[in-house]
Amino acid sequence: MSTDLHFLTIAEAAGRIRAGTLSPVALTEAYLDRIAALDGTLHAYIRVLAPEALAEARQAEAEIAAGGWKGPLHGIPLGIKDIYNTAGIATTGHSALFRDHVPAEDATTVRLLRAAGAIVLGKLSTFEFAIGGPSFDLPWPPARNPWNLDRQPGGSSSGSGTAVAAGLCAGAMGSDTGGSIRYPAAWCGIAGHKPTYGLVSRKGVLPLAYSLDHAGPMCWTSEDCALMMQVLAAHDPADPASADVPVPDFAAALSGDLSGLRVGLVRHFYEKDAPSGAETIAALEQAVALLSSLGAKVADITIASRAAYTDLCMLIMEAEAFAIHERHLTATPELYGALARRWIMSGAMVPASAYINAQRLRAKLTAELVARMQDVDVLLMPTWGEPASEFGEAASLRLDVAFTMPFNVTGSPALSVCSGFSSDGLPLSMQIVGRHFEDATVLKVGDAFEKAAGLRDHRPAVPLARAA
Amino acid sequence: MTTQSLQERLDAVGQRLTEADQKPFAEMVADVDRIVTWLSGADLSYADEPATCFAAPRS
Repeated sequence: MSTDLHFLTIAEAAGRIRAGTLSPVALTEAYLDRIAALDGTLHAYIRVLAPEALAEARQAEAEIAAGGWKGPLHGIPLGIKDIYNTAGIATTGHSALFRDHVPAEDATTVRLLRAAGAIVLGKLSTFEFAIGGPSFDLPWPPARNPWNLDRQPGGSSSGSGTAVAAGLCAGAMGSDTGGSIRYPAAWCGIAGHKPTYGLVSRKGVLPLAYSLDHAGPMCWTSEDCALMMQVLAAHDPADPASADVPVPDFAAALSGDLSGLRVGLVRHFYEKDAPSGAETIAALEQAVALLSSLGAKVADITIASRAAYTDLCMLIMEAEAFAIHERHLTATPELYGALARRWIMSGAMVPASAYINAQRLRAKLTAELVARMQDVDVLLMPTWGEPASEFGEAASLRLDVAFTMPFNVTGSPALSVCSGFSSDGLPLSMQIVGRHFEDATVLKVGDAFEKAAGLRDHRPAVPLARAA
Repeated sequence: MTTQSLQERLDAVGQRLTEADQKPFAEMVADVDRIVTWLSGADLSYADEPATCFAAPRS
């Protein structure tokens, strides 16, 4: 357990707050001090809401003192990706186009978090409109990776990954259309959970691609993701994709017992389809041995090729994104950065028949995966086949070793956890994928692995000035 | 694909390219075209209906 307030997990902080040994005001002040000291270097935040956060903290403190503890998020300071609507607070999408966009209402998820007593510390940086890459032609600079300031944090939920890893918030909201929760989680060494499609509302989140967008939590641990999921998972009639399904007790599922759990290792993804780095594979093999020692039964499994899923995801994403942005791209293309503009505009080149056929093939591949997963409880593979890239051209996103898009296509729950560290100190990643609406199983595996692996005590040491 | 033919395709959908966009955008469009070609040969029957945008897997 960390002695620094800013490095407490949500579970640790919640326990102290409930016991009356930690003040939400003191915790909020600790994060605000940390942000003041480091965010000029890290650029995780677009907007820090210091007075508002302190007022919310004082309110939480008074409620708890009066016996009104609402649950584990009460008095916990969180960061919100700046594509989530926040009432009366600009929601920019990290774009000049939406610089002055001030929503009247909170996104459903923000409303749920506030109702649970969480404190909103500020709005976090992102790839512009959650697509493209780290850009230097936008009104705000891109976030930096706290493990190495010359490396990218991943994205599009860049600020969320950076802020959680660096102790600039206790947890954060991300969004994931092709990997945008799990990719920065992988490169920043944190836990990021993309829920089953339909389990968490997207109402009030700036859309990128309707049929692929997912909202979800990013935290230091899988346990913390489970605590946030308990609040976030709820049927929302205002989101047409929202599923009306029972919500499990996510925290109660974190038993640490993996006896009899059947794990399908998707070896062809990282050995044949998109060969991964040796250190990523070595860390995965160690994780497999650890999971086996905890009682899991691991065997290789074959699913459709990574390329088939990834190509479908790209085409659908670009087509849907263009449909959303066509009007603004036509009228004011200069208000977009170059990366987002190119990515979104490429969707104009997708014939309607190709889009429909992509959705037809998607349904077929999803049904195939559902059938294959009758034999296993979870799938295992790297999240990203290499650790964080240096800043540079868009190619340095390393989409060639991305394993995230298949599960946006299928809507499966998918969790990225830190599986180890490279020889130069960068986080390595592992992805755990479950059956639809079995998010609790995925989080249980991530939690059991993290507690057995002992990797969660290692935090980045962020220098106060950026390396030359 | 030539820059001219790319611009013609963009004109058809009312979009403009900057000078700096042209080379990277042409590469992205080449990838879109590759996927479109692949999809045209996908193993799909009349019974294969599309996934819908607004249906959760079990809703």
